[in-house]
Amino acid sequence: MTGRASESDTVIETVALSKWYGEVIGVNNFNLRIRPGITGIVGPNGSGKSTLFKLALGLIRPNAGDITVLGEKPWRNAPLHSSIGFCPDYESLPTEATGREYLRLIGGLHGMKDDTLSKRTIEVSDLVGMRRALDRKTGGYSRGMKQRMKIAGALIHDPDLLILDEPLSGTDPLVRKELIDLIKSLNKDHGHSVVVSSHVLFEIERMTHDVVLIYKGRAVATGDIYEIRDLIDKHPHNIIVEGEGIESLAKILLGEGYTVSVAYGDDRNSITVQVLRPDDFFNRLPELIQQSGCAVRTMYSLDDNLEAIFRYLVGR
Amino acid sequence: MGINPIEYRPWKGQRAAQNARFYVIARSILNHKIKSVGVIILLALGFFLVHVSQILTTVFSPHEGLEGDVMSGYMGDGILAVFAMLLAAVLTSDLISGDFANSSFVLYFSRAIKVRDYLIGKTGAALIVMGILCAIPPVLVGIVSIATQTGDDYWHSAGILGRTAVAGTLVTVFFVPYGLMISSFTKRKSYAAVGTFMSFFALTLVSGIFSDFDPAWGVISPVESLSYAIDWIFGFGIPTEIPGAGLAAFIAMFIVVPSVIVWMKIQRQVIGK
Amino acid sequence: MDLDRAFTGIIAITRYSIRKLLFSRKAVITTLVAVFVAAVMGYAGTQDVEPLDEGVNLLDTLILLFFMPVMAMIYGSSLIRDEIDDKSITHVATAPLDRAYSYAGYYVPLVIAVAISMIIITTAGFVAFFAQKGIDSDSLSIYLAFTSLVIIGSVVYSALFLSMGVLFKKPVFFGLFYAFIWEAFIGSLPGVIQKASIRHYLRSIGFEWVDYGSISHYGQATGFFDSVLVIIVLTITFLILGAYLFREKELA
Repeated sequence: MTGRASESDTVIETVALSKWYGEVIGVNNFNLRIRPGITGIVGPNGSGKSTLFKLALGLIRPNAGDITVLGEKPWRNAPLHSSIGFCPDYESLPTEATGREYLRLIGGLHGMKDDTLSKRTIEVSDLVGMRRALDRKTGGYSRGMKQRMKIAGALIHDPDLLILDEPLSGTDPLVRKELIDLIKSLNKDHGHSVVVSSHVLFEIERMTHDVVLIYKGRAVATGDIYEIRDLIDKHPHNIIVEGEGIESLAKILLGEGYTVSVAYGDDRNSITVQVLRPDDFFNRLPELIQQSGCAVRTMYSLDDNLEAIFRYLVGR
Repeated sequence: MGINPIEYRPWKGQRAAQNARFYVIARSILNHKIKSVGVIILLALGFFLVHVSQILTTVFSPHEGLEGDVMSGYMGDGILAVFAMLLAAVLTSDLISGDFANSSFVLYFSRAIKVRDYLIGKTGAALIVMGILCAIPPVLVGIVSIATQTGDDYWHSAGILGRTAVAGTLVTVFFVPYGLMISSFTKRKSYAAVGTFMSFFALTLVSGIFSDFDPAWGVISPVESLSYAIDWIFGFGIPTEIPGAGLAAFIAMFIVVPSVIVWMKIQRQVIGK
Repeated sequence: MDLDRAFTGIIAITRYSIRKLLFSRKAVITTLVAVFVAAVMGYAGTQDVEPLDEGVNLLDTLILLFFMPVMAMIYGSSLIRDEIDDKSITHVATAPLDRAYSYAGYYVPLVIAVAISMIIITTAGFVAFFAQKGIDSDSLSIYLAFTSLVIIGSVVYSALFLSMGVLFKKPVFFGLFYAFIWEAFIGSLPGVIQKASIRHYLRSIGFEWVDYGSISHYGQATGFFDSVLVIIVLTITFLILGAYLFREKELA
């Protein structure tokens, strides 16, 4: 590794950073400080995650404000790329090339050659579990294999900082688990700082406790995921419960401290419960169902999507 | 318990909107094309370079009536054909290739749409835009000429106007099927555009080279053959060294063969071959 | 900038791009064009014509005036633009390599690919025609002259069309306009205006090298050294323009 990260306690820092495309705002007055380790960037689609990464990589330039990566400004700073490995969220592998050819291309672009490159190709393919597929064309890879190969490409020059844009999207649960383990290992065992994005909070939660929540181009919350969860839990959640004899459950729920309100549905076979501290609600629910003697058929949270959580956080 | 049969009964009613589906496709393409900067530039450039000078000449030169030789010279001198080639290449380049590239093809044919309606919709839109440059302005020139003529033989002028409309229709139709055919061969509209225009240009070039050996080779040039056909429509003979049957065959081949190939290609694609 | 590292990076892009250019569908286009040129010149070879004059005229019209700009456009205008559109440019843009060097990494393989393609097409046409008329030292000198001209043409046209790929979102349409309308019509007009086309300078060089056919009577020809100088200046200008635009380009 180049050692740039070890010289600084901040891998990415933005101050009043703004980027817009015509009338569309990518990031808006964005303030952020990411420290070494694994940091999750979480936000719904279109929230500005990819724009932030493009700014960090110097692919686009800010309209206002500043961004520094490993202490340097990235726009027109090609040497900085030797310290950053990037895994994009889109299909970027050349379909007609084999995995080995792809890694050799990326290695060559980073100035690696001959035995060093050959040796490193084997090392990173081992690391991501792709050694046996090295000589297959990437066009024939599964989604999980492609993600691994892209991560190998990001790792080949042994960068201080890895930027992984939605590395888990479109993968099945098994592959997701393997990739999560790999990302954790890249930090814990190999010392890379990792900035990883996702629009699924619980996926990030399995990798790190340091998260940045982005919504509509702004960082709405930064810090430990539990603190953010507490913040979220202070806002009422809407949960719909459907089943038979649901009125008795509604009466019991009204006596619980976390319940804000209970509203019946049109057919009186469903209720919408507004609760503070949803974790308490879910923990107590089996007992309450037993007490009320009702039969619950379905239950779902109206707020179980990131969009709703972010609306809470920005006070809408 | 037994099996609970799915009580499916096929719907046997008449799909009233079926016949209008090609219209929906044509309207959508037309909306897109007439807002395309490239098409607007070509239409403006073509109108200015091909038609404006003719309108001005017609208005400012005293004339007895609308004459066939004037219209034949204006429509068949090659500039209109070159712009028609360019416009056809740009217009048709993404009509089918675009559907292959972004999987709209699957979207179209997962509905109850027929290949016939799909092609009529696509071709119809392209022909309307082609007509804006190749058919409507010559008719307008004809009307302006009649409106400003000094003579009183309006029947003769009306006859020439009719021939003008036929010639304009031929120029409008001539290049579109070939462009559609090339568009059906690729997923990339840039390849389709280059392929279409390059084919037209290469045929013109080869015709020029071979005409030195035998003038009959003139028929393989789209520009030349269109010029001969326009002369014929206006009642003038074609040069003796040009075989009439060969000319007719080339024109028919240029329109019919690509149309058949496109139809077959789409048909095969729809049934998954 | 570490020059050794930059050189390794350029070599990596060159290797990758040359493979992409020479062993892709574009190779099919080269083959089809070569067959087409061979068929046309082969047919002309069966006619009773003065071989050296007619052979030169055919190479002049088909190769120098038509397929030279067209093939450079097909190879060049989409090389960088396709990578920008499908975002595979990210690999190059996130490498520790100044984008001006990366641009050179695209230009070098482009010139090689266009030159190889044009040499194949020229050879196909030459053999199809002169094999019937007899290959001798005169015809071989014509072949060498046209081969050299297409190599020079590859250098200048590649620089032009590669920069178009960075400058325009739809470079093929601008390339189409340039190759077919500008080069073909402007370049064939009498008077000073034809000097505004690249083909004029290629023909002017050909005027010095070839003793047969219409190119040897090219009355409008610019002097040899002036033509070479104009081509060098144009190539450098297009390269600097393209590299500058590529360096400043935001790859959203």
